[in-house]
Amino acid sequence: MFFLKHYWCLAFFILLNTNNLYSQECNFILFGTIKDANSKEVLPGASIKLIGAKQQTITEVDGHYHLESLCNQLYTIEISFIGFDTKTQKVNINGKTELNINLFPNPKALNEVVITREKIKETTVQTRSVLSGMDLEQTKGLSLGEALKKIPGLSSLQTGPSISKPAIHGMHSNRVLIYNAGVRQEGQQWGAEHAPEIDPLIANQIIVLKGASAVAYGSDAIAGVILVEPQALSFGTGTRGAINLIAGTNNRQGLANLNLENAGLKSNNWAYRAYFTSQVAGNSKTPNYYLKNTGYNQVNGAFLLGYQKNKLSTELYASTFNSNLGVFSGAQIGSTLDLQNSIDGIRPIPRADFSYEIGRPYQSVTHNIIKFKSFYSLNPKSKLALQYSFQQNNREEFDQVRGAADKSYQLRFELSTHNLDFHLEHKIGENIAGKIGTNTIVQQNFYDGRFLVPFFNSIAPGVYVIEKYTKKNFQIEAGLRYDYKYMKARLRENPRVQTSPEITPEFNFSQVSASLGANYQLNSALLANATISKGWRPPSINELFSYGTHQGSGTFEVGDKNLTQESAYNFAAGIKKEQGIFTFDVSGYYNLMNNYIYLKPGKELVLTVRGAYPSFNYVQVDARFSGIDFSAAAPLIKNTNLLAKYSTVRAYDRNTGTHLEFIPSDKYSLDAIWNIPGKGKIRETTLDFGVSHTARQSRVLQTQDYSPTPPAYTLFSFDARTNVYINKRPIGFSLTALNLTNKVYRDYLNRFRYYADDVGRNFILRVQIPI
Amino acid sequence: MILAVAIGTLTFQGCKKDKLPDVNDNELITTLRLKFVNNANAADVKLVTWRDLDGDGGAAPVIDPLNLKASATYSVSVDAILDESKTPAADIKADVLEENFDHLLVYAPSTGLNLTFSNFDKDKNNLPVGLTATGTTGAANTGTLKITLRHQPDVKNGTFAPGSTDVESIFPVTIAN
Repeated sequence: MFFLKHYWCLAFFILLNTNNLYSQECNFILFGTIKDANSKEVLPGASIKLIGAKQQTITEVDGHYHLESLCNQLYTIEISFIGFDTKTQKVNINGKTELNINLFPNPKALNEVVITREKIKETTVQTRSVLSGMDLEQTKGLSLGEALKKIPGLSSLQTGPSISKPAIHGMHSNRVLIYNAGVRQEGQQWGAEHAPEIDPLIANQIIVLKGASAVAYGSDAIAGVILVEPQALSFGTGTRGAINLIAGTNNRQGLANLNLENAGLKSNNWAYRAYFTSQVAGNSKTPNYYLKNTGYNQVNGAFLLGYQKNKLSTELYASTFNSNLGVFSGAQIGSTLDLQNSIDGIRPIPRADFSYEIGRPYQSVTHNIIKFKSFYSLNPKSKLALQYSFQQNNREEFDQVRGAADKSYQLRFELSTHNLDFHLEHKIGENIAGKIGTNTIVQQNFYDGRFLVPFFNSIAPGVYVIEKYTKKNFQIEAGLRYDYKYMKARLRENPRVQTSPEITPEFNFSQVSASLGANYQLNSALLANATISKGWRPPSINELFSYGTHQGSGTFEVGDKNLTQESAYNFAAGIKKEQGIFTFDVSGYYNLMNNYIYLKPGKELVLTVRGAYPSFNYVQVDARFSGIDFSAAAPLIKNTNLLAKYSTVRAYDRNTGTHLEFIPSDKYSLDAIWNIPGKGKIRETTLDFGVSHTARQSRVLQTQDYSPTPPAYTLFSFDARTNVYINKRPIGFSLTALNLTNKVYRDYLNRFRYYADDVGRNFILRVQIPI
Repeated sequence: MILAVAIGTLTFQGCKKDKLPDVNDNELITTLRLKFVNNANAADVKLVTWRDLDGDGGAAPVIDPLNLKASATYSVSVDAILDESKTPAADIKADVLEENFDHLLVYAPSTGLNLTFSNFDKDKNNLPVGLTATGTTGAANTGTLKITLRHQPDVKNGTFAPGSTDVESIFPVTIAN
């Protein structure tokens, strides 16, 4: 999160100042003018960055810059501008400090115009959170869904320890779009046990946009967008990279990750980065027993290649994700009787020892992406961007069946997606910037084996325009988008009867999305924002056509092909302070959802050959989601900072007034973070003691679930990290302890909570070696 | 290299895309047939069938009534467990027999019904299987008999609870003089 990242700077500053900590105010200003050393002309648009701090700015039209809210300390600043040599300088800030700098032109650099400018501090009008820096480091070795839980308002839908699906404000699956390295991830969201097929280790930051984001990212983004972003390619830097080695004690996981950049590359026009991750984990352990068949393994790779010259910049990206995930054996049930017996404690939890072996039931998932992206600068004010991607998701489910040895998968899906985006980024005058573009998604799905969702083809074109007006401390952004989706399914009228006639129902969905947002910089530290937006989502294929029992879910799911599109009206507002000793970020939201689709327990039992199943039907209701996400940080004692987070969601059916199922309960957390700068070989040490409390989800009625919701629980965690300098290169070591007290608990959002406890204590040890 | 792998696997094997896959529920059991042979009279054979051809949901199963003589002893066997949705019908009984150490047939007469079962066949771990048994009737009355096939890979302990249900069939039973 922002705060924590900012904390580094804060902590650093505290360390440098042994004066009275509490009277220390960070209200100093650094200002000056940047000029060309030869011509003495002013340089507008030059970048000024405080090394090690969050702040950066660019010079105005008159070459003038100023940075506020600085502390009384020594800063290192870096001044850069295209075509000039970058200059680094130390400056001691005291009161209003003036620093004028002359940059020397570099003819070589000027010939190779750099188009991908380094991102300046981005102020979006939308509520957003970022997982980067130490916060991201602390999650290395965990899945994407687990990592994101660090952000207030985010939770994850678990299917045992190996499968974790992210949810924003209690909404998940198709309502949360995930962009994997700029590509809209099209996995198979047919069920809660389908986790995103993404290796979080490619990311150097994960950005979460909360609330309807349909205009910029496409329909479906009702709950928000998760951007998993690799670091931008850097040109002409020479070889860089790192090796990460990670080991976890709970499931004895081992992970090796390599990323390598520009090795053997001389050209300034080309750049590349390669990633490779291999991970293996065995059975997870609760405080009292192993969870049988919960191991997993993964082999992932990605390759990013960039070329830029003059006005053109092009990027090619390819990635492959391959994983095998064991599904906890104890959660395999034949009918509701087995489920009831599990809840009543009559049905024993399968005995297991530690093993890396993955047996049935398990999933084997492959996801491959290839992306091509190109920018062309028409003139300094406008730029054309083209992106095409193709991805294929192949998913095989191996059920626990009789005579398994000579049988293959019981179900296979193959989903292929083409995505073409073409847009023009432009500036109108000094104050307006925006983009206008078009996006088309073409999709095809096949299956083999047991029926869950039918074959389908779909095409979804859309057009959009977003414009942002900026004036001094004020920004206003407005967007409009129109999407259309045509889908043709192919299935048997009764999918479970071979002789049933084949049908090809067709669907047409279309709607307008719109957003209006503004932010206001109250002072250099305080930013307020508010947005109002409308988004929509066509019903997904499983909502229309599911007919059957889900692996291990104990429910018979029935789709409804007459479902209509879901519409969301979202209002959100927030205020945050990112600089100074005390920082905070608080945001609230109020969403009205019309025709919200969810799985509702049916009134009648479906009689299967295995006994009675409750039927769950996809129905539409009008719903209301509201809540608050909060975080704040403050110094406690010298070198030690406190970080508090809180999130709450309320989700009601507006017609009946009942609370919806599978919505996260209130969550509180508190971290004490101690920074020790160190000297000599051991430096940048941080200790983080954390406690988090998850309340009981008490708003769900007894009749809405098979068993009472699990009680509240409190977990303790610990994280220690340091850098050991060998030959002036930092080797990073870190140790994270999760569930330190080995607490026995069950989480409401874990679908396997009926069958077994959640995982116990886990120590994760990491080593990062720079190349 | 990663690029090559990615491109290679993108075009990797496809489904048979020209026609819908056959309806194929590997675990479906449509038919359970029980055989009761009167130990006092080998010609007195009762063959009763529970059959649900369309599987989950849909039409209700077709069930034969089981009529037994009072105060008699029967040799009971599971005559057939079939998946008749396939042509030819899949012989599930053979699978159960082969993996009898992972399966258990549980005989549950309704409360009050004068019918008891004993003497079940055993697997290699000396745990009951239930493909054969001895059935003993008492005085005339009526009720139901529920037969449940439990699939209990690695967790079988001779009781109902572990594992999951593969098929559950309920027969109406009349015991008469």
